[in-house]
Amino acid sequence: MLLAFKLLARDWRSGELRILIAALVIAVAALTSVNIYTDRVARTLDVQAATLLGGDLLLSTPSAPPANWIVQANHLHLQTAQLLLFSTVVIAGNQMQLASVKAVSADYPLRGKLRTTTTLNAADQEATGIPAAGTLWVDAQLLSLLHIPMGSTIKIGTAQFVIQRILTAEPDIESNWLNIAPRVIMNAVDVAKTQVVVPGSRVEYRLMFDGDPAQIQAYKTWLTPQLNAGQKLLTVKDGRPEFKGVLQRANDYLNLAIIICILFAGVAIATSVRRYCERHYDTVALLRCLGMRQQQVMLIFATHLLTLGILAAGLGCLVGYGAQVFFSQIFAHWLKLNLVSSSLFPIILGLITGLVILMGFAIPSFLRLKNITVLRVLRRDQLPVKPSILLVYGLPLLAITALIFWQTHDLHLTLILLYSIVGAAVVLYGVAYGLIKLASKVRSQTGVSWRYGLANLSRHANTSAIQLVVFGLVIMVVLLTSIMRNDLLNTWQQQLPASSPNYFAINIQPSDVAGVTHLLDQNQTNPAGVYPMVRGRLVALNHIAIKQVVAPSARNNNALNRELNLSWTNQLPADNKRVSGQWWVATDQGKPLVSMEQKLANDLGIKLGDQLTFQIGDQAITVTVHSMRTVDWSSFHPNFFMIFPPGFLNTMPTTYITSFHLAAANKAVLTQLVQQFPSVTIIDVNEVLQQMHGVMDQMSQVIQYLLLFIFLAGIAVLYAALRASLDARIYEGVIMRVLGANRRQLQTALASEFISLGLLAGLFGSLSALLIGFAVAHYVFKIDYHFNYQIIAFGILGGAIVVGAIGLFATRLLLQQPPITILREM
Amino acid sequence: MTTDTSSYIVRVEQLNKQILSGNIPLQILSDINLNIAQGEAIAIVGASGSGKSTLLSLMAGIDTPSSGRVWLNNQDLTTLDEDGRALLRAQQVGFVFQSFHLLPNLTALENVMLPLELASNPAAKRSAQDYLSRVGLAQRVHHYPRQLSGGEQQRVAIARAFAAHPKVLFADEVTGNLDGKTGAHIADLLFELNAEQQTTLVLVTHEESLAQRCQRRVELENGKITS
Repeated sequence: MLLAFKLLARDWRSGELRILIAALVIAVAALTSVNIYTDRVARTLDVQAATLLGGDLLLSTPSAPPANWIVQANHLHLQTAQLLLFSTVVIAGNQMQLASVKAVSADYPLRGKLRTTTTLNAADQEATGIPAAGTLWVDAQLLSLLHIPMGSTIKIGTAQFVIQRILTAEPDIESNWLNIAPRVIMNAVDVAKTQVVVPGSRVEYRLMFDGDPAQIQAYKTWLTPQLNAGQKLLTVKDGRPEFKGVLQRANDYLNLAIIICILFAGVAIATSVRRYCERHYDTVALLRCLGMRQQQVMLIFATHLLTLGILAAGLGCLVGYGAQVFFSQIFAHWLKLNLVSSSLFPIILGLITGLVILMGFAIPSFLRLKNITVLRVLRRDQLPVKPSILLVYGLPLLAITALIFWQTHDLHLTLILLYSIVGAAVVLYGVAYGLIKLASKVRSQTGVSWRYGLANLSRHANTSAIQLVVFGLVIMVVLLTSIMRNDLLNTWQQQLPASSPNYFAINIQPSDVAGVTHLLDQNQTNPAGVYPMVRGRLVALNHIAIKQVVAPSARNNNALNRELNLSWTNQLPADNKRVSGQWWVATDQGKPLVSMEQKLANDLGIKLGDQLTFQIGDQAITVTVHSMRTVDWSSFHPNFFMIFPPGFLNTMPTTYITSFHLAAANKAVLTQLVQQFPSVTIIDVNEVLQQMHGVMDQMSQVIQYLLLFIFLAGIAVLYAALRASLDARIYEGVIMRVLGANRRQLQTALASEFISLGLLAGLFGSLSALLIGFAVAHYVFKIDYHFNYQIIAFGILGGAIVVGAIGLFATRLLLQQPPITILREM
Repeated sequence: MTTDTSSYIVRVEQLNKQILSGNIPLQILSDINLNIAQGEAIAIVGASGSGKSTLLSLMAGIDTPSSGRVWLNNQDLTTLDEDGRALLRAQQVGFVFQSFHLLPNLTALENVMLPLELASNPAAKRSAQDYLSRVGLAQRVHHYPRQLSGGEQQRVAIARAFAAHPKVLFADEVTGNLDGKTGAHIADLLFELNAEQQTTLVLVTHEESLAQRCQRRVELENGKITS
């Protein structure tokens, strides 16, 4: 063991370890910096998400929560806010209106802010605190429905309240807007004097929690087993489904970035370890010749590898941390989003990942040392037997798959991305090998510098092909990240175009449908279609009471505790996708069939062909599940869990619903609509739209900078990989120099080789990025994909410039120093 | 008595070479003065580590001295930059090394063509083929170095050195990596072509028999000329 360290120290002094250590440090630094950045973004996302919920965690319960639940939250240093929600009639003079009341404690909201104004249609501002006792903050809609001005007194139950402010935004706005009446916010201390909430009243108690993620998790773990059927714990994903898609895609993108960095690190480490081992063939042969046993030799090099791995990975983590801080500070000038600080986790992750990658990629090269024959001391051309293909490629692949899955917990993304990259690499290798051989045929027709460059490529066709694959992959993943970024941004923009519906109109009577449609069309409000709506409760599955059949965890599902909006249409709505079963054909009209939203079906354990019974008023109807659909809840179009074929629900009491876009300046149309069709209720979703735009803007910025990070990491890794494969090139360059090649000739020769390499790598990289981009867009992000062929030109040009520049930079000493100095160092 | 220095193809004046071994300065060559006449064949001999190869690399302009000056065909190498020295090497210098130093990625023919092409010789291919025939490798022109024996590789190196018609040929232990018979054959080839082309030959060797075939013999010991 002592000898191992002595030899390592000698290697260090001789400068032999520089390239290996540099590659390891660069790889781990790139990985750590991107990891830290993505961790910060993910944590910032959580904070943002928590704002949408009003806190990190939300408990909803139909009865007052036991006191010890709050005691335990306090014990875990969690902040809490208590809310009581109920619907009641508010009275102003002889006007009455159903309102949705939220009584809040002083700490509400824990995350985000309420926004209010004192004058109708005036600019709003962030509110501090909550309504004072005896006062209310209400939706503007309530004022218009009751025909009263600001400052009026209204009655709730037995208590009188003064309307003090108009509520314009709640962070924890309800996601099921269609089911709430105009909002009233009151101070929780006033609830008792209204005498509205009595034992047996239908109310919802809410507890909001905010605090350290670990404590939140601990609380969740503690509380979950104590919840009964009517109680549920919500995070933003369950509480705000319209944001789920955006957050999920942003998270997928962060995972993509991490996978790419793991691949980068693998590439850099594999190339440099291979060089390190090759340069130690002679040492091993000599040690064996001097009488050392194979086992001792392996122990020495295992010690070297592990020591180097730990040292370099440690250093890489520090450099990565520093780089991340440096670049984040630069980005901070442009980034509107304040990133929260990172946890220690990505640093530890960087360290472990670096070591695992080192082992996974180093062992195949390392095992070749074991097979070196003593004969090499006499004949240097005696190369060790190659280990099995399975070991050479299987082990790194296994290491990378395990690491990626460990970090992303996303098997789907891991398999799709990793195996399409491996597939691309195999194809790339075959094509590269063929092209390189082809290039060798034309070299006699070129000048000396190009001949030398092309000869270099073709002489080492196998190594050159591998190098091409490596460079091609690096270019590919950088381009892939860029393509995904563009597609993601485009999708977000398309998802919420400026003309997104910002109002819903519900309770449209059948006799008013034509009139409402005409009015909306006249005012170019771009209505999203008018859908019939029947309200019904899902009561049985396959003729057994639904709550008895579904899993205990599904009994709390909100869909079972309220009436659902049932609709019918001939056409599958544009933002729905059929995932199984069949959509209606003409002969299905009037049949007892239903198309169900897939997630709800999964949650409730409902399958195609199951029989569902709905209670609609005093009638019960039973239908068969005929197809499953996915629904884009963030489209702001009317959407339904249950869609029936036309001609089946027609006889039920029906109202209609639509959504439309109305510019702020055009608000008068709303008044006209309500006056002309008094039964119609307008729901304003501008606030939710604004929240979504805010989240998407911030995400867009974050991924722009993430792309820059990946680009820089890619350049660093390309440099490390190239530097590790330069020995032969430098040697050959020196000989040319000795034979009288001048700087220009040598530069041209090197440039021709690196540019050719870059051109081919760029071509392969961009082509595979286009194809894999399609797979990732289609199967992971589930967004529309556009083949952007410009990326090929960009890849070819960028590859030639970047690889050419890096190659010339890495070989600059060749042009500056006397040949003998370089020869002595080799 | 004055000497016409311009008649020397190589002149070395007060040449010193010092390197750092760790932090300790190590004197490789001390105050070397040497003149080599046009067409002369000179052997530099001495024990291993005496500084023979360093002296050769300084005279050929592939290394730079710590102090002192070297003239090659009346051009002061110490005033030239690396590109200037490369140009001089391309036009006037040939090399044969102990370990051949052929480019593994080029065929025998391409290896011989390389210095001619670097000097923009339009007849590079014909000349290279001619010289490969002269060294008996007409049938192996398209072979790569790895497909050739040690002796054959050294013959390619000799063809490469003479094909460019250098004024001075620097040969460093040319038979060092070859068996006795092959070595003798290579030495014959070298002296034969040298005589034919009237090239100045600077031969570093530790083989007495080879040194004796030169017109003059310079012995180095601990970086100093002793005879």
